[in-house]
Amino acid sequence: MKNIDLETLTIVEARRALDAREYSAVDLTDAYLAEIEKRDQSLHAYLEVWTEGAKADALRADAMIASGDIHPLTGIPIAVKDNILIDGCVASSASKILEHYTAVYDATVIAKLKEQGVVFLGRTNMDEFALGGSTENSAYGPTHNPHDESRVPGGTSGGSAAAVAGNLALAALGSDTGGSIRQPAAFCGVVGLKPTYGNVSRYGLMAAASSLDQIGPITKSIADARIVYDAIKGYDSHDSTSLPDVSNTFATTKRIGVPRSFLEKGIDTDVLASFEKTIQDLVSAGYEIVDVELPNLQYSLAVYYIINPAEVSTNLARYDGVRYGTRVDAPSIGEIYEQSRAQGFGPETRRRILTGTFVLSAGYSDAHYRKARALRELIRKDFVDAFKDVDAIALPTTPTPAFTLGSHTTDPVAMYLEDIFTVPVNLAGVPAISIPTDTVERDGKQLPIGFQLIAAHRNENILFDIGSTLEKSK
Amino acid sequence: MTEPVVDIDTLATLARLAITGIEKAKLANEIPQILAFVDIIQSANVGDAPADTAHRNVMRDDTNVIETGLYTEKLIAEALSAANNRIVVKQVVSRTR
Repeated sequence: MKNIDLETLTIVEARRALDAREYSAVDLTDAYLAEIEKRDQSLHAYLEVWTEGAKADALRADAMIASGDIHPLTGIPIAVKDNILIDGCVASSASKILEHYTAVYDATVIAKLKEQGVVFLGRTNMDEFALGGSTENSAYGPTHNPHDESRVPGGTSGGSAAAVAGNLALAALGSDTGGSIRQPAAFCGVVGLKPTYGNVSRYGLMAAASSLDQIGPITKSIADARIVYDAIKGYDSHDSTSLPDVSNTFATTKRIGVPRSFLEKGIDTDVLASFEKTIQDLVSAGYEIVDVELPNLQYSLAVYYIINPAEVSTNLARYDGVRYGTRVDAPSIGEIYEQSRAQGFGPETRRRILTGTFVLSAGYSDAHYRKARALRELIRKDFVDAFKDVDAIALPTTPTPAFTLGSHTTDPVAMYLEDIFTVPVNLAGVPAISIPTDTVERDGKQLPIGFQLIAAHRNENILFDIGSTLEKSK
Repeated sequence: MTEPVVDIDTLATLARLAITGIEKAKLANEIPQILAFVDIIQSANVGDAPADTAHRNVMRDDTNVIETGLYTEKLIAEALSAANNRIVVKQVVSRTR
């Protein structure tokens, strides 16, 4: 087997080496499969590794390269979150209710990657139905953080982030409903992009909270995130929330806003100090830093934890043990629904469904769901107004580094508080990226933390531009 | 706002979810905690902000975009009980209870 340094490898470098015939897609795939074999027993990033399928993909990619049919991702081995459909492969959303469910079509993002000749390594672990923040809600056991295996990788795309950080995939797809790409990327020390809502098709992504969900890449560098994003973005007639293709507007005022009043409490001291250090790096790189006010940001987490369960309870009503998935046999159809759902869904999923049912119920929906919807609109407007004055807004990705396994599982509200800096982005539908800029020490170990940049709708280019500057300054 | 009364049995019935006694006691404690946590929105002044943003018409022409039978075999293969290219379900409506 060829000796390939997976630790430092990026898509950009692999593309160069594959095109220069320094190694083949089969060599590269074998290197990743060997690393998975060696390390995934302890990390548990994957729910299933498609060894034979990956080798067949790699052979096809090598034939494409030999014939000159080369795309940016031809022969690149990637991992896919378990809630994205690949025709003929099991997709379970890490739930028992879909344990044996085989996808019957390709998600649009998968069809696009197949056209480029991507190698699919396997499906990655996640919080069941993308509900959580630690990957501990998987029905198949938690994933461990490659930087400290006693800690969580974050979630819900924890398997995808751990796979990239642990050199078990060159890139991965995740989905981000309230921070589910950015938070695990921050905890694992990799790059995670949540695109503008509507820029990447959700067709073939299992719906959690439909107005918040978005597929995006997890990679080792900004350039790699851009390559994967360019490959998967675009209008899709199969997704009614897909946005028409337009070229991005690109301003160059070099002004970045910081919502200072939002950083006054609930954040670890060293995480805040590191954030300020990165802000100074941006000043040194010629950016102007200004304070911005987003008055309704303080309500984001509460608004999110009303809208999310409301949409989740509605979306998950489709899993009833009749057409597909797990069924518990019972005398009547009603009991089949109730028992199949009770046994098929895990505790957090059941909690969200019931909370969602409550906030949508007669007598309470006006005070909860409708008010949250109105506040969401004000939060969106706060961002739109702020971006009239600045190119980007900076926030830490998370208030803490990765926490230890089991430390938040008995207190759902404590787990929700970890999402404080990421959920406003999903409520507003704007794009954001988490960049690994620093580490902080916990229990003698250096743990990565993320720096989050947020841009106006459809201005992903600004995130890549500032992100590249930060990457170079490290 | 007064503390909402959370009836777990009613919610479970509405959500078609069987809940055991132990879990019921746990949820009866946790769901009010979550509702207390999100109750901060009651102090927000939303003025006349609309609960729904402007919509864009995404309706397509009323044409048959899916060829009949294209996915039937694959979908039936996923069904838990099937016969004659149909999904078999328990009786939904009955004359007597």
